[in-house]
Amino acid sequence: MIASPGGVAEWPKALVLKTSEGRPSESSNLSPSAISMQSSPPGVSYDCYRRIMMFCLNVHGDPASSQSVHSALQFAKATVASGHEIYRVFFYHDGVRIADCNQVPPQDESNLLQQWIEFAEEHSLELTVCIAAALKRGVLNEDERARYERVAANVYPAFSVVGLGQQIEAAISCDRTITFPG
Amino acid sequence: MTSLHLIFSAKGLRSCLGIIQPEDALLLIEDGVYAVLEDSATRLHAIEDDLVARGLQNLHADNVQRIDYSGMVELVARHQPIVSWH
Amino acid sequence: MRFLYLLRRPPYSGSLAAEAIDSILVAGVFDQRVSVLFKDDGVLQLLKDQQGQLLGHRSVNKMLAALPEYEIEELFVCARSLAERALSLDQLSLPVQVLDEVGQQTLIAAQNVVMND
Repeated sequence: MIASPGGVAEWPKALVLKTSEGRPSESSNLSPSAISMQSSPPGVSYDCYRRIMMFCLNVHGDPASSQSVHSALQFAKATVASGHEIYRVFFYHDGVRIADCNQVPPQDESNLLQQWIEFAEEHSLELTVCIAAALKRGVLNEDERARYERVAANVYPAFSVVGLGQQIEAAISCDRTITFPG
Repeated sequence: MTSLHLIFSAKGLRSCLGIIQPEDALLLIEDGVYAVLEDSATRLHAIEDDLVARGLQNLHADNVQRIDYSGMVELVARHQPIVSWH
Repeated sequence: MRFLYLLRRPPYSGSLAAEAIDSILVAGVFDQRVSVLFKDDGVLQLLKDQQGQLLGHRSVNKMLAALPEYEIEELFVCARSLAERALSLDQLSLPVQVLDEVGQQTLIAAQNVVMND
């Protein structure tokens, strides 16, 4: 079977589902010929299939001086709402500062850390910060605080402090890697 | 597959314009939406919230299609790779 | 999988360039097919004779010199970015392939993942 440009023929059947609306998504790139390759039960014509995709996000921008932590959150929420999944969020460069639990945003600004934590909890999302980038910027979990004999740990517990290998492993494991560069 | 270019600044758009292919999609996001002030020829998508937040909601730009984040998710699902231009 | 690192920042604007190179080296360890495209100010990372220690940094060109040891040998530079800065290949510290715009289109289209600095 020849895959269509959209690669439909490669889709594992278990991952193919009908959209909740039961109509073709306007932006679906499925050609009619691609759809007919699906083995529908006799007499049933499915008008639209969508594949659940796994995304991973790299977030690089400083929460205080760029928008990337904010837009990455909006994108992550839309991803989950669309039925796709987030494999891991990897905060790198200045993005690691989002994990600092000592942030006190002004009352008239939204609390991005809180929003990330609530969203991650609700959807069992893996939030990770790069250990090397975090150490350099004074974002330490208890292990690192003890190892480097610093005064206080400040990583919010919802974040795992991990190596760069987790960034690459996520990209290898996912259908799409999206970077918010900051 | 064709690429999706995420444009985070007007400078990013200038840098990528030379190397996009006809079937690629371009999405202006964050400060990238200011590029609508410079480019009226390229077919672009732009995040509505980012336009509105910056006071660009009334800008008349026939080349720009406004989308929300779920539209961005659709674009991401339809393209590979996703290329970010800061 | 094919990974492309698109590097567009100058070498010493904070640690961004150095951290991106760390990520490239890790991708090399994961045995992926990794290539690097230096574009815009990113071409400045390749200049010879840098002395990053004067700024309290590792020299970025020396970090880049480790790439071939990780079997990352597909290094490309944007022809236009070199020309805009009046740079020639003999001023660069690593052997790189110069790509015009069509070459860059082809390179990007072949990737699964594009990473940034």
